[in-house]
Amino acid sequence: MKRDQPIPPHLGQRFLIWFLKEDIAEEVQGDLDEKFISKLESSSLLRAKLDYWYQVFNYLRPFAIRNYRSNSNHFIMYRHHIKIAWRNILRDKITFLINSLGLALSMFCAMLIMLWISDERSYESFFPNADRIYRLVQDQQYENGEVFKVAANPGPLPQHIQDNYAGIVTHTRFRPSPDKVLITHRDIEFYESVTYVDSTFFDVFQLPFLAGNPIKSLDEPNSMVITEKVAERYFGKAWEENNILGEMISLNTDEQFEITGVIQDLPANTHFKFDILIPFRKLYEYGWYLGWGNNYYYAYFLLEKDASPEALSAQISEFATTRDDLTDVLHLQALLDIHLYSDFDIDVYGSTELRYPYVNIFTIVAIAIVLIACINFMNLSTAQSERRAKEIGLRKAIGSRRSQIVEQLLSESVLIAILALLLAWVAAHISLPYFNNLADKSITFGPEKWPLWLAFLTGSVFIGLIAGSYPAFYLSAFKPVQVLKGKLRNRGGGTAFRKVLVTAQFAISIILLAGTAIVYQQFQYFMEKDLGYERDLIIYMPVRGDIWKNYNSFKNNLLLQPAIGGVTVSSDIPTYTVHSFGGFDWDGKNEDDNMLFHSFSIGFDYVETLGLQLLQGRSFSRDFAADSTNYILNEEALGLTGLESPIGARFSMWGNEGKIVGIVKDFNFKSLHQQVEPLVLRMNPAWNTYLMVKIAPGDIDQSLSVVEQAWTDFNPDYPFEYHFLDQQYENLYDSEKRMATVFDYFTFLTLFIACIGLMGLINHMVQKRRKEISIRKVFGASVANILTLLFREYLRLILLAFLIAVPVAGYFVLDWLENYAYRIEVQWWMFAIPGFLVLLIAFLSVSGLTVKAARQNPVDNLRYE
Amino acid sequence: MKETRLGEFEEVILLLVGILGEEAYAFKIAEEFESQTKRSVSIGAVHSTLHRLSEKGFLTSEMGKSSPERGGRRKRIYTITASGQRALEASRDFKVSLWRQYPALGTDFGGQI
Repeated sequence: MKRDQPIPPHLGQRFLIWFLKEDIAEEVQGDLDEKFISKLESSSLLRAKLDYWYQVFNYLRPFAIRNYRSNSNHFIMYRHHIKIAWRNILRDKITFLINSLGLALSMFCAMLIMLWISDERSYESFFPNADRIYRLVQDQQYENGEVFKVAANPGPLPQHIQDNYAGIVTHTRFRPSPDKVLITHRDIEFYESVTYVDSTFFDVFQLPFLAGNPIKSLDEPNSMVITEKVAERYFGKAWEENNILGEMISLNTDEQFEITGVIQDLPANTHFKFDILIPFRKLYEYGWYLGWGNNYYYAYFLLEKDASPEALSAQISEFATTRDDLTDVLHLQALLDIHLYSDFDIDVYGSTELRYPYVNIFTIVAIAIVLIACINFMNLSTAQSERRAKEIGLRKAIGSRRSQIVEQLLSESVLIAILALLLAWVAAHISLPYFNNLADKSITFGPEKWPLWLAFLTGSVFIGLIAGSYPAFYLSAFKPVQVLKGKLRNRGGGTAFRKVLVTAQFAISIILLAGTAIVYQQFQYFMEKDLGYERDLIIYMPVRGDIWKNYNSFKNNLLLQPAIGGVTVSSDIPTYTVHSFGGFDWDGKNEDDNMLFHSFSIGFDYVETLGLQLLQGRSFSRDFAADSTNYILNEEALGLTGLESPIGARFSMWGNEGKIVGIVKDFNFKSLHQQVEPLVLRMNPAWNTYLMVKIAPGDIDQSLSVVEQAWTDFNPDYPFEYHFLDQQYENLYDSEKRMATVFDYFTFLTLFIACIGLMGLINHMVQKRRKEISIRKVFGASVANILTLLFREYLRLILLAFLIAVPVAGYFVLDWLENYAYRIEVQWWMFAIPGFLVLLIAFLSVSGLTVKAARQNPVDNLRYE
Repeated sequence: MKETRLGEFEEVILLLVGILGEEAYAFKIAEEFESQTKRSVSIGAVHSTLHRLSEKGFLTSEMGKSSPERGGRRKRIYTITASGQRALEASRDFKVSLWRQYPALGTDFGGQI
């Protein structure tokens, strides 16, 4: 071969020689060189090189690969370790089952939890530039000490900020319509929620378009961008084939919008929930208030790469202090923080609660579960140690170093951990749909999750190493001579260690069980709490179409029916209060104070229909024309005004002078996370957006059809749609409910793992003490005596575990309950019952084994002596 | 006892070994296969089949000469054994007998072989 001739890829040659059997290396290398040169004649160098690689990989065949069995000492040793491990598994199947099942179960739990956590942390991250998007939020400070957190802002503020401060690329405002609107295309009609956004929306949130142009899609006032899902709903599955751009869709029967874009459906991991986007400027047409005085609009900013959100926040707050109509503390919240770190009284879709505590709790639970399984593993392996002692002794006698024995035992435990991982992985795959259902998620487990898979794999190797480390070092320390003489009795250390582990395990179980019980109690408390208003049998529906015009006849018509107990209107429903204002005045008010009151507008009969309790005065009545500017306060609001005799006192809101005509008892018009806050009820028909109807108990379907009939009579263009107030109320506590259920399962699994661990240990103990038991029986011990004898030791441990668990559980539980303004009292039995339950379950799980041991015929065990 | 029937690919390779004679080594066989069948094949696949055929006793091999384009390395030349020859004939006879029973073509096809 001449020097200047191209040669095959060096790395490929090295690789080939590395794996190829020596006796065919010469001919194969020759063949491949020849192939390379012949390839060079017909094609480029690159192709020839690629072809060489292709040929090399095609030699990865069993006949051609080096047999490492005969070549590598390490390989032989590992093969030997695995073989011995396998034999041990077969020799003691129960221990193996307990070990691997326990580990697999715990890995399964940990896997689901990690999937859940990674999903929680993935919120919004799919948006390009997610780390540069911020939204403007406020901490409104009031003189009465209240801090009211609002994620919404006045209409002109975002533009003002963009114009006056550096570092902002662009911004968009965002405002979902308060209620669903009727969307019609030809004869297909649905109630849909629509969202108003600035035309810059897609500059900030760069969502992929399936049809249409992102830049111009929202320029025209009557344009509309819809998601795939909506497109499918109105234009069929094959919407992509018929060009739907330019199709007209009508909104609330009287307005036409042109479809200018179709975007992909949003994934589940975002705080946005919108399907239909409409230009923000429509709100000007609709006459929405867009001045500085009200916080209605959410604003998202795309910052420049090097912009500092903190500095910008400070500048904005500084600007806010110069204006009377702005609150003093404004700041930018990172888009990526919205899901986990939001606790706003007013947020895009209602109020929000902090999610990150849940993430923390579940992380702890996952660690606890894995820890328990590791403990089992260590426990059983050390318990088994006597059985392995002779093997170890022999190994040492024939020259095995300690490090080799450690290596052997560790590779055994890693093998079991990896087997467990495989099992867990299969189980997780099967149960993922159920878990998604339970946790209200849509987590997938596809190949795109490879970092998690890798984490699981390294995690399980790590678990194998940790769980195997104690037995490995404990066993490898045996002295060969003593062991082989059969003198080995534990130096006590092993037993004590095992006891500590068992105690820890049961302590964790008791903590989880007590936690579950208390979460459940708290949820139950929410469901049963007297809120100060009646939530059963009340349905509500948004005011739509002509219903408001015909409200009085609609109402009178309904009230004639025996199935209807009351009809009223309001601006808010008691589970979802969004209106709160400053700007109230009364005699004796300190002029400088700006106090925040929630305020509903209500119709006649509101107090009666919801069953509010009047403490003083009266409710609004048709007999008093002045009631249109009169007010009813709740106790909290009365307390805030400091009025001594409120009835008839002067009171005004935004300059609308009137009198206080009634005081109602405090009722929980927000979620029970919060204390009852000051509330002013007023009559302001323009604000009324919800119809509320109380239906009679009994035949609910019948009553509903009566309401539906009336609705259709007075409002034929709009389909009848309603919600039950009590269901809405339950939805407020959805996350508690889901938490409680998910917790249930994990607690059960934890307890199960702990119990099989205990079973394994007692099984071992029974085996060891068979002769002792038989001798005791010969001397007249009863089955019960023996049962007590065997269980007593563990009883002590469980009691100790209980003593450890109570303060720890107490700490966590009290900490959690702090989140709720209304919470259950923590009672002693909330710990006692879980403790007792754990004891009972532990007893039941081992009693089978012990009874069997105690009932054995002593002769069987003693006759060989 | 080893499996002694021939697969389709094995049969072709065996025939090619016979055709190539002195030049029957893995690379040449692969080239010949590609040019005769217009199907691409890797040398590894051919080599693995040659190896299998040798194990079945249809082929023997010995190291042949080297040449400069092989970097001075020798090549392994394969030759058909008697039992290889028999296996090829058995395979051919079996197919011919099948073709004879085949209704439309049987008669005039049989004459040519």
